[in-house]
Amino acid sequence: MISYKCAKCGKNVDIDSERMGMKCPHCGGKIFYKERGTIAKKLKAR
Amino acid sequence: MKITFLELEDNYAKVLFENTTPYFVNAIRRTLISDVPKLAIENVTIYDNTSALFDEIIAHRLGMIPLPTHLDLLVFREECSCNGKGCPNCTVHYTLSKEGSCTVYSGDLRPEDAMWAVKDKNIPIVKLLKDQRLILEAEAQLGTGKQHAKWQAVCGIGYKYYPVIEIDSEKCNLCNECVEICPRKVLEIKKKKLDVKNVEECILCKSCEEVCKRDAIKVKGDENRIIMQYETDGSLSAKEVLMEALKILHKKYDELEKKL
Amino acid sequence: MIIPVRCFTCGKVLGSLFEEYKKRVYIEGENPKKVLDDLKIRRYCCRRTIISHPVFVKGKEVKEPIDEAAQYE
Repeated sequence: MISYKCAKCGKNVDIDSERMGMKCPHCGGKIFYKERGTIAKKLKAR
Repeated sequence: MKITFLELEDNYAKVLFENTTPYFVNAIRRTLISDVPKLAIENVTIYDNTSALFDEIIAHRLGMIPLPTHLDLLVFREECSCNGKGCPNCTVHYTLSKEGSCTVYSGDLRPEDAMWAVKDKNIPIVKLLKDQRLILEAEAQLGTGKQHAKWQAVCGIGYKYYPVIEIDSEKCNLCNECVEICPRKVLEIKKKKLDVKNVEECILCKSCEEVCKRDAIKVKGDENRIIMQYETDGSLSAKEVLMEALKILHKKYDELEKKL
Repeated sequence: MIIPVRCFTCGKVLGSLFEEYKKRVYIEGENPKKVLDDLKIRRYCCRRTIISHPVFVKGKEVKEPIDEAAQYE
């Protein structure tokens, strides 16, 4: 279960990857943003 | 060898080398570009970034920012007594935390000590809209231009022979053509005589030689006098950077002498 | 797009100079050549980096493409 953010209503939605298709249960939107993880990201400044 | 500063600003210098040779000045040029150490951000830890730019782009932009370098206080990380782990002798830490809507500037990087504060505070890093956030930590360390261009202390460096312009006033008929064609406006006609106004501006393009039908003008370069021009990015002053380059070059020649 | 920190070709720091250029050229209507000379941008590589950076002028506001793009986020 991964949490996505609905582009239409802005709510966080848990979507089961086993099930086919993605649809927001609150507004029916079909566009989702993948939320940024909480882990610190280490990079080289190059 | 004699060195004179023809022009000297904080970040810009025009230097005249006398009694020297092109290969020696070229050695100085190459040392300035690739061997003078300076401080730059190398490791970035991003905790949050909801801005329009990718983490990698922000990290890259941070790396390019010139940081004030006190060479007597720092050593290379690889040569440090901490064995490359990162300690106050080889690493400078910065933190940045901002929330929109605003523009994040290089001046927003907070150093652990005020002496490392970024001098050029107005470089935009990223623009944040409302509710966008940027939180990160950065580690700066010494490096040389050989490793990456962000550690290159000088930019726009070049040299030329000292121009020597010979005018044969007997052949010259004051046609004014050479004065008009000169891209640097070096020549002028004064009191019915062709004269050189500012020799150092001449770029040895020889347009005046080509345009002259009577062969009255000759442009040559003096190989033993060389004008060098360079700028620094602000991490070291123009004078400091040349002194440092000469020191490094001296050390290299010493090493060579010992090994022979 | 946001103004590059340095000149692509020679590495001169330009990021901090662009805001003054933007103000003087696009709002106050000064001659770009004069402003570039005042800012001591000497080489043509740096001059083209500054001149060719796209902006949108909306009255007293000068926006860069990043401002426009960010609206659609």
